[in-house]
Amino acid sequence: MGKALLEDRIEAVLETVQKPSRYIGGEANQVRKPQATALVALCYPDAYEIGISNQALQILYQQINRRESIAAERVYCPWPDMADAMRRQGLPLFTLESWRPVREADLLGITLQAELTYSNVLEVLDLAGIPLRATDRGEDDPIVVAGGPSASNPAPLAPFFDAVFMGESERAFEAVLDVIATVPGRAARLAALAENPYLYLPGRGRHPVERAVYADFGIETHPTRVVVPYSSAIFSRASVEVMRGCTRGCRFCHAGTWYRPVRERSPDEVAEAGLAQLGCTGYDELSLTSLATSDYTGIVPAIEKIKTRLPTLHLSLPSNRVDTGPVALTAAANARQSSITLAPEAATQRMRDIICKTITDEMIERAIEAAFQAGYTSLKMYFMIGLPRETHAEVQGIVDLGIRAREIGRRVRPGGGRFSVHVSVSNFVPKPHTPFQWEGMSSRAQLDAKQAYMRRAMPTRQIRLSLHDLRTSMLEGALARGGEELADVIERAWRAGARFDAWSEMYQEAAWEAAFAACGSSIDEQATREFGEWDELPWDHVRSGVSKEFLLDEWGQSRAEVATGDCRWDGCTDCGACFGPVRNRLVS
Amino acid sequence: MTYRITFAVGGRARFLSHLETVDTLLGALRRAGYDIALSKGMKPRPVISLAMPRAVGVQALADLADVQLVDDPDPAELAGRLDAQLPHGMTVVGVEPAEGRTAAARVEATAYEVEVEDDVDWPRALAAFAAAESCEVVRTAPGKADRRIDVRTYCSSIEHEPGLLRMELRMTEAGTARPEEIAQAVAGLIGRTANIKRLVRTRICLRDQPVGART
Repeated sequence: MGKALLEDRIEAVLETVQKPSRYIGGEANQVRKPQATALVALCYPDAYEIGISNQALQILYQQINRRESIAAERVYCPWPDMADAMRRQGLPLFTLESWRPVREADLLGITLQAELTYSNVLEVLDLAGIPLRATDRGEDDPIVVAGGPSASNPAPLAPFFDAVFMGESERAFEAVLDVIATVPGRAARLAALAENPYLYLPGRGRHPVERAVYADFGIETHPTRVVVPYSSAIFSRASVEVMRGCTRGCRFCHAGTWYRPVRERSPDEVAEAGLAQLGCTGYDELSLTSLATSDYTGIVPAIEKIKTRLPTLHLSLPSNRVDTGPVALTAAANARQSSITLAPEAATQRMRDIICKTITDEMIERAIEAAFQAGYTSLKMYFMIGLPRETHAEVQGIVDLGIRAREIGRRVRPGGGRFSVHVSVSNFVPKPHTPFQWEGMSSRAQLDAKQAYMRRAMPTRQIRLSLHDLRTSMLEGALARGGEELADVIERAWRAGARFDAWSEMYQEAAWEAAFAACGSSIDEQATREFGEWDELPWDHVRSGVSKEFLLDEWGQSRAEVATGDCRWDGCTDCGACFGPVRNRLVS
Repeated sequence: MTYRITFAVGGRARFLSHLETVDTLLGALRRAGYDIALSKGMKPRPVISLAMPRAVGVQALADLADVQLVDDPDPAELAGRLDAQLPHGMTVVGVEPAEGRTAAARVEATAYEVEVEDDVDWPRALAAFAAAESCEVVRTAPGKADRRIDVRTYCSSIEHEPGLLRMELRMTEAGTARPEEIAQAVAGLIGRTANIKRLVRTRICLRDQPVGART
């Protein structure tokens, strides 16, 4: 199909679909490189407004586009109306920048940020006209590479990828790009990639693969000219990643293992990078991002440096520790926000010891009080249910803490000052590479009963309770710790119409149930599966750097209901993540 | 100072929604180095208004945006710097200082070119349209009851040339008609359906023009 003809046909289809701006590209700071000799298509397998907000792909986009010879272009999963129209018209999936067919790319990189996007991976491959299974691909097909946190258990999607990249791209992905730039032909490239220690090639058996760590975490790789999304995006502000990694050691948290050790950028670097990005994007808000920004030791000078230059700028500090200091800092940084989020995760001390969330009842109450005193009118609190060894007391504790927050609000904001408490409760899903990787997910019946209890017990006046969709949580649990046997299940479910599973209104439970049943299992059986400590785990060949012994110790400590300290200030816990230049790097 | 920006939207940019168009203009102004004035009140917002929303997919040759800046740059310089920051498909046609009521409050009429298939006997249909006392269409909108609208009253002129209907639509207290409604109403008078390929808004006319201002 000629290029002009393809463009006309795409435009004709765009006349007929919802939100056509999802497919047009052309945003500020997008890069067009017609002179490049190779094309890498970068895909987030969900809707544009979700995918464009992903920071990892913005990093990769800039990293690749720095090379003269390779163009990086973006692609997202077309919404079902668009996908169906494309199939009817015989239109191939195309990149946003140049509207080139994705199948013409040399490499298709797909980021796996969540298990509930797995069916969309197949949707993307199919729309692109790329054979689903790597073994069915030929010389004309792109090399399909997965990356991102969910790739840390590559098994469920392994047959659909030619390679899976583990860890942080900033330095380590350069070797992959070198191969694309210098070696012609798919088979020769795959052969050249086989020596890369950070690439798992499913076609070569379950060989060991390491996680790449960007030890120096230099500011030069921080993206400045980020693509500015059209206004539908969920995340529309400038951002600087101030720190990578977290060693708090929360035992449910995948990122707490996968991004170790902790690396901080200097306040000067943070301020310069933030101001530069603001200038290139036209944003009026800057977010200082990390897994726990209040733990960043340069936070106060960084804020001062930015505020000196731009006194009225709105700064947002997401992911803060539940304590008074972070609440005050957040309030001072952004006078515009009327709501604040705290994440106690569990409401009783016992459960916080089990999950290693080292905050106390007193700290939570003080933080709530500080939030209302600072003038916030909406307080949101995150909790989980279904955590290991949970009893009725833990569930009741969430209800009690919701009520307690309301009491504090009424005391601090007397005279009927308006405020609301939002209690958001998700369902715990055990993740690979965490101390809870051996635990089964709580059963559907248990979680359902707990949700029903909370709905009955939580008062509704000034308290809003939101409970995460149990159906999609169970599927997430089934996919997260699955082995390669799940590939057939995922393909069957997708063939039966599953896509956009994270969108409750799109979730097709029947398709998934039937797919699991056809393969002799069920969602619930898979999700609640427990592993013994001597069992081989599907992701054992993936070396995160954190040792299995450490995870086992931590699992033991959780059963003993003992929290573990943070190596940044309580001494080394011997997790194994540090070696040579890879170590905690704090600015103060 | 408040400026009236005349801008064109074509190419792929015509698929931007009204809100996205506004945000695109604001982002481009900020990247060009201008501070946009903020409204007073609890939730300050940038002071910008577009004369008419543009439906998704419609091309525009001269849409109008009123925007208030903190400083008062030279209009020609503003035009150049803004144009350099707009995405492919959006261009600045002109910038002039604006006074008095916003363009949005002064829209008198709009002009469109509707690209159509000539599988309808347009001269006969237009003759029927000219002779008709009234010409009703049913306007449907999601979540709203269907409304019957006499589009004849809104259409101040319409002519056909091969592949094209040119029309001018009046803006009244009761609103206006959409160009595709007119095309369908006209074709409907001789029992046909218009096959519309593309819509282009060529002009937005304002009433009470200050002396020396362009339409």
